[in-house]
Amino acid sequence: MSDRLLVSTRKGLFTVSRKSREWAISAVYFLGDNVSVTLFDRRDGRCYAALDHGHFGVKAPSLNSDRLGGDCRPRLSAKPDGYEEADVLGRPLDRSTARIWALESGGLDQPGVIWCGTLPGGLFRSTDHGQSWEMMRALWDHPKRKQWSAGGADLPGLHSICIDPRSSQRVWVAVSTGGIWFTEDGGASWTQRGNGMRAEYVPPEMAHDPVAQDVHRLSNVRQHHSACGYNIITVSSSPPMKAGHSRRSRASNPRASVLPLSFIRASPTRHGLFLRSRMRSVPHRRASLS
Amino acid sequence: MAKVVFTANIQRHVLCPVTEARGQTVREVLESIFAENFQARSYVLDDQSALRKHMTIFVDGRMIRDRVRLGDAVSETSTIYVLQALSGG
Repeated sequence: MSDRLLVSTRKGLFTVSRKSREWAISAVYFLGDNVSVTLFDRRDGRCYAALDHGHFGVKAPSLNSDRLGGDCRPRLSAKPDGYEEADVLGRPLDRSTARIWALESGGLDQPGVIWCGTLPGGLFRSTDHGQSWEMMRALWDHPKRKQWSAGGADLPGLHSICIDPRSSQRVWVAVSTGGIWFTEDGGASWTQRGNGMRAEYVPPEMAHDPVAQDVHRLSNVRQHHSACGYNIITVSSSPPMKAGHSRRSRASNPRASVLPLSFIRASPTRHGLFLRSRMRSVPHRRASLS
Repeated sequence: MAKVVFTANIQRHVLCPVTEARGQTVREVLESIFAENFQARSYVLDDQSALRKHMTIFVDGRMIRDRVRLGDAVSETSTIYVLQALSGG
């Protein structure tokens, strides 16, 4: 168990450390600033914080960088002169990064690579520890990106980034609301994933459309006792649910898989990771990630 | 040269002292400053190089109208204030 927590808040980044039996705040960064997400990179010990300065925009500095306060922001590419875009509600889309909503380390074979997900849905990758960012144009320019809708915020949010530990070129991301997207070439091309999920809040003919799914979280779950080593779990608004997930089913499927679940509480046991729902279970359907 | 004054609130993030710069438009004046103070640029301009949504600029007491191209005219004796906009109620 770790002895240190990094807690991102609207009032700063707090490091909470365990001393004997008690936890106490041991360090404070960006006091008074809105820290939307923090990443501790286990590969090299660096720490990255996403800041929302309101009037002054968003930044993603590394706490270890001497460029703190510089222009270390994921920046959407310049729009063509005269080009205007509206969101699915017909509102003008402000083509500017409004919030950093996900930070993720690249693979073990990619030192310095950091991924970044944002509102209004831009995905970025840095190869220099966040000093500069490259926008993943293939995802932004995908025709279905314009079908992404706002979830809990005013803009679509790319909130989850999962790197395949067996191949760093394989990456899944999830959008609220825009479903799950996958690349197997490091971001050069993207395809929609997540067939089998169901959204209850849209017209019936759209309920199984992968791009209509409001995925809340996509996460690598590492298994110490599993043959496949990990699974990818999704949590979304209203897909079919399953009360438990056996070690056998994971081992029989060495490919990454996704379990569409709702309001999930995950509990590690000696039999593996069990996923429980506080809601009534319905027949399970496996959604497709691969 | 035009005189440019940045809001005091930006100073805790990036140093922006009162500066004099040449230019016939707000864009020309600001880009002249940002060429020397690159870090300050993203605190004032957005991803498309337009004025940030909740920022405002006054030239000789008048709020600029062209927030995208920053084409409002500036004279040799102008004073430009770069400030946070008052938003909400």
